[in-house]
Amino acid sequence: MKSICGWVGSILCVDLTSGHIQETETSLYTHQFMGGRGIAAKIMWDLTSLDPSVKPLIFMTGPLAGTVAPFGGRTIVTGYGPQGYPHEWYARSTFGGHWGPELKYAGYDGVVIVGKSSSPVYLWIRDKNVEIRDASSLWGLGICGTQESLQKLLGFQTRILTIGQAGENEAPIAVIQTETESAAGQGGFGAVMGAKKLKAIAVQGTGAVQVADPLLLQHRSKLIRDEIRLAGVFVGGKLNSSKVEKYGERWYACTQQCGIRCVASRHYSNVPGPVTGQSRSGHAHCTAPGFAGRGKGSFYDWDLGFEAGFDLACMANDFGINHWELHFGIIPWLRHCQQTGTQTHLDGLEINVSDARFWAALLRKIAYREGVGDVLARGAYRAAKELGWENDFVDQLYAGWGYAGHWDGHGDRINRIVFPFWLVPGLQWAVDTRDPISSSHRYSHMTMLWSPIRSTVNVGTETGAGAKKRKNLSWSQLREASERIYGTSQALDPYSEYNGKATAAIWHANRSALKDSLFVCDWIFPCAFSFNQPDLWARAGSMEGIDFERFLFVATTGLDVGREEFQRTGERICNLERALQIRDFSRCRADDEKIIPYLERREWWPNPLFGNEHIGADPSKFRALLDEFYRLRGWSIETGRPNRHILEQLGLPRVIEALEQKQLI
Amino acid sequence: MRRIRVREDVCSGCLSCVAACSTMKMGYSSSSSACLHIDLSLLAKNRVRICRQCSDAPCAKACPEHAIIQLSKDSIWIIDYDKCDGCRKCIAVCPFDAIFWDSLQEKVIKCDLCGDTSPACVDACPTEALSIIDFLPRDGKKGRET
Repeated sequence: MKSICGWVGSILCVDLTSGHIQETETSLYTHQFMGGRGIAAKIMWDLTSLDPSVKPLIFMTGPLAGTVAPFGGRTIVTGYGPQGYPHEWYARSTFGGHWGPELKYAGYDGVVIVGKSSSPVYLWIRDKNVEIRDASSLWGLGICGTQESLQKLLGFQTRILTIGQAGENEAPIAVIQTETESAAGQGGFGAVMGAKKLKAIAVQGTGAVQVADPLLLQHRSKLIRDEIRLAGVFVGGKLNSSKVEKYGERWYACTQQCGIRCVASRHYSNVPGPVTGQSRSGHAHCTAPGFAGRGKGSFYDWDLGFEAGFDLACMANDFGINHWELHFGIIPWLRHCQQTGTQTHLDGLEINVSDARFWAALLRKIAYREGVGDVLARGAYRAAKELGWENDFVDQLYAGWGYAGHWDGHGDRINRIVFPFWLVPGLQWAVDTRDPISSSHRYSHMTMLWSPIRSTVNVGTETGAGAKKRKNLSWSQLREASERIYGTSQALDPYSEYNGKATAAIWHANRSALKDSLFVCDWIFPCAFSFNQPDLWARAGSMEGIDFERFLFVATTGLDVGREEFQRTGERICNLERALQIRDFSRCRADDEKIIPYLERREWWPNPLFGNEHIGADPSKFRALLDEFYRLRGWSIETGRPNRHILEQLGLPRVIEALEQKQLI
Repeated sequence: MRRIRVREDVCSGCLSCVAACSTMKMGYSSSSSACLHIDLSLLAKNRVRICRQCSDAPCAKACPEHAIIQLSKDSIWIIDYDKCDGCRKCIAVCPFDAIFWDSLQEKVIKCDLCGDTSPACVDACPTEALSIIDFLPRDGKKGRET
């Protein structure tokens, strides 16, 4: 196998039906698709072209994983995600932890799982020795129990991906989770592992990731890490002294190579669990603190207390249930039922989100798919439709494709974004198959955080060194920045309405595909602004902030990829993923337009740019925006499908051939 | 004497130090060739294993080849690879489990503070769990930080 700097050369392919194990060369894919998300899409295209009935589950790392490049340790899982609606179409989810880098140290850039086992198994990968092992004794255990059992058996330096009871029971809102409790949440890939009877993938590696220019990578990594640390955003300030004393609160990296003390990730030890009676130790990421409630005045206005909230978060983690779906989908819906009295009980259990015992019972029902939990395990959107409860309210929460709203100004009641800025995530929602924001926070965050609107970070107020100098850019500075980033001042102009938004949506979609391919942290990259610079324009040495990840890639791989080629690779990945939807489900413009009624509703937040009115999308203007989006993408305005010429330019002849055969181009 | 000060209570477990160390020393990234290891813990603090530059250096005493040496009084302990025969007795006696067998290079390794440069692990640490300090030996056993 060819060893290339950044990549380790091989992708492992395991057929759980036959037990056959083989390898393929990573270099077949790297020149066009770079890594992670790009390579996964290409493998999916190739495998399903040969046999449409095959349902692979693909885990891919990126060239930065396992190196010293900061924020580069994440991994992607892709496949046909059961959370998707109306189709279980191709989707993706990313996770942190140490599993991806360890896989590379073990000699593999990725793992492709096909087929299904007849009995529970786990995969044990140790330095290119691969075994499919019996997992009967693990089946039925939660995620924490599985991690502990396997670490005891295989060694404490083993990195393990696993599912809990929700995944075993094929709940479409089941996650796959790492030892740092960082999870591949959206997509329902825990259910895919469960359907394959694959309980876990354990990895240990003693090998190395070669780097093209170690000194340059060290140098760039230090400069970039320091700039981001001082940039202030997402950098945690002080820990809570009472929690430090009582529960040993500390910063915890959700992923290997994290370069900051992230506000979104903490670890606690020996927290008494008032709900379960168990002492809990573990991590709290992103939405996890929300189980306790977010206090009076917020949409999540209950208060269960830290200990009960943490106990419930750990319980959901252990079962392997998607926190986001609970927090942004199921719970708001049940709260609405409780408040309006439209539904008072679930299987005889009184709906009461202020009661931790209700939550505990609910989580158990979902994980084991007991009673109404069987329906809820498919997500609130499907459950509401099946049960006929309050569809209108659920339609307010759910942007599309079976996923609760996220940074779109409507269903997401935590992250404040106002018109016209949510038009950019709105476009990304329109053309995706899942919540697109998990790899596209930066437009929403950048605009809301750095503009005079100054939304705070959703999981806390950033209080790092740079934040002491907390200030924001003026609208005219943002217009200048917009010109510099997107080539149009209108993308960050508060009064430009629908103008310039298609350009920004495409730029960020391409960069998101790249972020998920290298990998780098979605919350940090592309790093445009910095509190550390007098003009707030992020830079490190001669590197501009928006090029940071490209400079890390070049130093790691030795491939001198320019800004244009880099962006082009992202475009290629987005087009290939679009082609998968078209080939498999005849995806077209009519599907994309299904987002319009959701955006047409008045936005949730009062809009300070328009006298605190609540603005909704104008359907005809949004359709014109879609026209522009398709035109800039090189896609047909009528069908929303890529034109032949753009696929030719991107070097995707097999895609052209396949789509032409089906008359889909 | 310089040494690395460790604060396990603030280690975030990102392992940036491990990758930085092996990249600096060997030009590639691998925990096998890193001169410090982090034992990640699901339940408590992470354990940071890195040479503390003990003043009484049990590793040096245990080495039959006298291969763990100081170049001058109060300077750091380093391995003289001309003498080291890889017997690994030093690994067994280190009270901090901070001397390692590099399975890729097939040799014993330990932290040498990156010579005269700023240690790569300290540069890479985002939480200041690792920092470089001057350390004056006292009574031949314990030391105090300056």
